[in-house]
Amino acid sequence: MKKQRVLNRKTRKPYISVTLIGILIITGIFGPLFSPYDPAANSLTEKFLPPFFQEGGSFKHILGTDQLGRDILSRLIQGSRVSLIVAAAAILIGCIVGTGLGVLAGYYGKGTSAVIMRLTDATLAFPSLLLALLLSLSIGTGLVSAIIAIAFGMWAKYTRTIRSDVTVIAGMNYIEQARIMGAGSGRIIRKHILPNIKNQVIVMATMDISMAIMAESSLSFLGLSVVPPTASWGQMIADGNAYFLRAWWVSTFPTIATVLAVIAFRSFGEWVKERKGASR
Amino acid sequence: MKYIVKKLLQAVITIFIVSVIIFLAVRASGDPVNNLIPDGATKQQKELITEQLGLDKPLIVQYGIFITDVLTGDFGNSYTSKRPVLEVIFEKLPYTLELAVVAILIAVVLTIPIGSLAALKRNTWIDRLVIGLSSLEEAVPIFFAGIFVIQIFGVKLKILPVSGADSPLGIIGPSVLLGLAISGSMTMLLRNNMIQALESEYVKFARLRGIAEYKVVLKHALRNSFSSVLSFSAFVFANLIAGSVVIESVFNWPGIGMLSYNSVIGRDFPMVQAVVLILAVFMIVLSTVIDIILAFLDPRIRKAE
Repeated sequence: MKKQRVLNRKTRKPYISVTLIGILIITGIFGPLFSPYDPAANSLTEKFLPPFFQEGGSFKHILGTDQLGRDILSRLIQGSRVSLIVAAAAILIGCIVGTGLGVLAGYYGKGTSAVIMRLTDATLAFPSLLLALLLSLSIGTGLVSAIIAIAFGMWAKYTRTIRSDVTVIAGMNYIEQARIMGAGSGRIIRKHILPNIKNQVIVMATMDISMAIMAESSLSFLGLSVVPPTASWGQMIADGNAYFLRAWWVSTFPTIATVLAVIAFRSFGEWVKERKGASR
Repeated sequence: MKYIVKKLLQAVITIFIVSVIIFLAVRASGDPVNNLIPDGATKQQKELITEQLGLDKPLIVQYGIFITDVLTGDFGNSYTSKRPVLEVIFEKLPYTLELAVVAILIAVVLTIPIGSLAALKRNTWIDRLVIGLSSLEEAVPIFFAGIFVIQIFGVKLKILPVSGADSPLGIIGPSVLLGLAISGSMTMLLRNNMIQALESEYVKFARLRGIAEYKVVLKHALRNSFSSVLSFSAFVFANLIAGSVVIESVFNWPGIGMLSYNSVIGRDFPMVQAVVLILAVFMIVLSTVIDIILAFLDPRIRKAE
């Protein structure tokens, strides 16, 4: 235990991360209520206004405006909603599918396991971004295809880990005894196996949030996530690309938002991992 | 021996599944004929092209043709450039390999001193600084870092070429950024392993024997922690080959990442199939070989399966 303490990066409660995550969630849910402008409203007379602290900027547009005169702060707020929706949905899907298959493979073993594990291997061998590209072409770009693409890159990891956990649990005496007592497979899985893998799944899912946010950002940078004019952070960064020297704020603020979100969720994940004491 | 046969058999099945998924995913991604015909082509012309490409046959027949061709080493011709797909891939591959190798070298060169330093100065401000920088390196989206480097060093200061691989300096931007991105997690890995090594019995024993501290650190602690960095590098290398889409498209680097991005966007079926299949097979072969080596080294794994 002592050794464990030394190795862990943080043992303090992650107040800062939790605060940041709180802000993100609040802007994600209630954003439209306090968003200063319509995030899609163009105003060509007001394009490339700098943020308030720079010469020429004002508190009218605190973080400035982009190449179409859209308010950066309002777009960041809308982007936080996109990031959260994509991350939450992708993890939910990836986690449920992955855990479900992992439990089936671990519990039933033999043929079921062989089929599921080959599918898992095949999925893990795919270059995930290329797959996301293909998917977005087949189902069209948009929120849904970004979610499916990220979930597809995610589920196999859960299956692999959960299968090996369940294999161990299923071989234990108390499972055998429950069976002798007349418990069916469904009951054993619900009452005896799921509670035992719950922590592992929670830890993996929290650790995945930052990954999913980053993945959404990459996809939307490549133009594969939400369709404009809906704002997303990656797409805002791509927008600011060409104007970086002229208007650094267009791509820098969404980058800062991404970095803060990724770091906050990651250190929150580390903290959860330590508290729940999962092995991986 | 039985284990090896089993693993190989599993690898073959996995490759088969991969080939089916690729085949279906590519066909689900849209009709390539629309991208190939000139504007205002007649319906007959369109049908003719569809027939020439064999896209009018039932899916299962198309798959049969695809897989027999692949097994005989024929990946077909690119729809867009009309050249053999393999030829194009082998032309682009060296660029991606070069980028991956240089990036990993940069990461390793950064990791060894920084990771060791953090471990030796554990829980001091140096350690905290290293931890902070490492998580920052992982959290900054590489496409923003890329824009930053291109605009500042390329457009403004004109030290580096703006993009592409025409000038020998072109590799600096993408490889340094990739190297930095990798070095974040690599440094943490080395630091944590090294802390463990520094507290281990053999390091204590080496100190007791009166060996100079720098030798204890270099010969015992670092050498033993470094093996994990090496195996991590192999894993990263495999991922870099497949995952270079973003960095290559930002820097306009003419490697596999760019090629695959362009061919997916242009619905160049044979090219996409070949690239994804080759990358996936590469990953499967790699992980099979690693599994076999691990089982060879540790008999417990063989029993557990």
